[in-house]
Amino acid sequence: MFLNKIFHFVKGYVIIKITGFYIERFLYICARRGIRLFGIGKKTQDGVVVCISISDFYRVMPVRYKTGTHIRIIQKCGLPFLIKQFRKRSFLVIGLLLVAIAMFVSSNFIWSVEIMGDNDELSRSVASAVKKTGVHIGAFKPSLMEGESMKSIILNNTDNLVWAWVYIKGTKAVVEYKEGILPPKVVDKSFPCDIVARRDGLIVSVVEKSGRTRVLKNDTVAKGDLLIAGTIDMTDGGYKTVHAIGDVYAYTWHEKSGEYKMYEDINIPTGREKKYRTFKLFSKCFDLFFKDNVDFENYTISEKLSEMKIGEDNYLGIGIYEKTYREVSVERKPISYDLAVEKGRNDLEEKIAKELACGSRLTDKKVSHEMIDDETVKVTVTMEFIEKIGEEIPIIEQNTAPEE
Amino acid sequence: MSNIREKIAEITEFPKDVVMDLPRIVIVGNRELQIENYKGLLEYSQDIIRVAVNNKQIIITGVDLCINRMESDTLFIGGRIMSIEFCSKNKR
Repeated sequence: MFLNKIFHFVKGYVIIKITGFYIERFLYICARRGIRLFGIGKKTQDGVVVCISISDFYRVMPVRYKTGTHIRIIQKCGLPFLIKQFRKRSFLVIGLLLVAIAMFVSSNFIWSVEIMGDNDELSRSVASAVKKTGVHIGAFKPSLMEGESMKSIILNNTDNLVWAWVYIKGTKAVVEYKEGILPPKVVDKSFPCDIVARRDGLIVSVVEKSGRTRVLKNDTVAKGDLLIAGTIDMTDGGYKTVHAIGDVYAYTWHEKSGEYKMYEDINIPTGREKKYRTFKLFSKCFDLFFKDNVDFENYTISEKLSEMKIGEDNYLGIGIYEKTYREVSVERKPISYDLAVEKGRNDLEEKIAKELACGSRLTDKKVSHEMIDDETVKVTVTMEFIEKIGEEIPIIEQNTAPEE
Repeated sequence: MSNIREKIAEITEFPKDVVMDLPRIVIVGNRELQIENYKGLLEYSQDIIRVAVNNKQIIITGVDLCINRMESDTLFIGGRIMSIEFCSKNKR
């Protein structure tokens, strides 16, 4: 059916309306004489609409006289009519052809490279590895190497990757990678060190693997106190230094406080907005505006990139980047005392979490709060954890010269 | 005459529509109807289409009936077909 439509379009056809009394006879005689009628519409009081090819149209006239029907051309369709229409506008046709050729040629090059991944540092090293595969802006697509070769180059030139692939989507190269899990670091025992307390605490347990333990269970330690010494006294009166290793767990207390308001600011859109568009052509951007000054006092920004593509993901390298500024009015909404305390508690807990060592265990938590003025509440969070408090401090050996 | 042709068709095992000049009708659900070897179009409207075949006429009734394509020996009818009836040539 689709091929039929293409065939009719190429040959050209006219849509005609037949009116009169002997329409059925007209149709039948046409069929008998080999005049192909297609797209025959429903018969109404006004007549019937049918499609007929250009060559057959002139053969219809005798039938029309014989049956006494009337024929009116409604529309001329197809390529012959289009060519006739554009014959006088040759420059337009040439322009269209040039654009088509330019599109075809430009679609053979890579115009943007996208690295898909959350880790910025790793993405940068992947990007530099991708350049070594020959995938860069302006690269000729047919000259690119095979996917497997690109994969091995990326993997060999980037640490901590388990998989990578370059997808060529039209004029866009999309690089996807999978980050590997790093093996635990090898403990560098080449230098002597002590293990000292990172913060104040009450010792819960000490597991010493190398060095001499200086604290016992239930001892109170302050920040900087020696926990496991890397200096070991020898029986001959001398000493030797080692790289102290061990896990020291202690109760620690973290306290944070902050002042929180009993209201929150809400952005309500006013409906006014300004859009600034940038035309993106093969990685070059052309602003479609003169000045992007925004005279809104408060606003939100949203960005959108619409790229032209054929099919699912054959990008042509042409797109419109749209930046929308939406004006908002800031309204102050009062919140309850409890909600303000809850907000403060969550905020302070997040701050404390950033200070903790990995693997810390919460044992106790206290939240206190008080009103400071009509719209401010002071929240204090105290949390007790069992956490590793030891940290390595290198021993700097002082070569004391013998006094003479 | 038709009896002789029928007997010839039975003896020779030739298709009856060829030997007896009968219409061949193909119907797809109640949506499409194809009539081969028709002799003329007698009436065409959205509710009824009358087609002349050898010594008889076929009356097709339905809703939104239309002729999709018309060739010299085949007629393609679309729409919601309600009934197909064979009548003598002089009816209506």
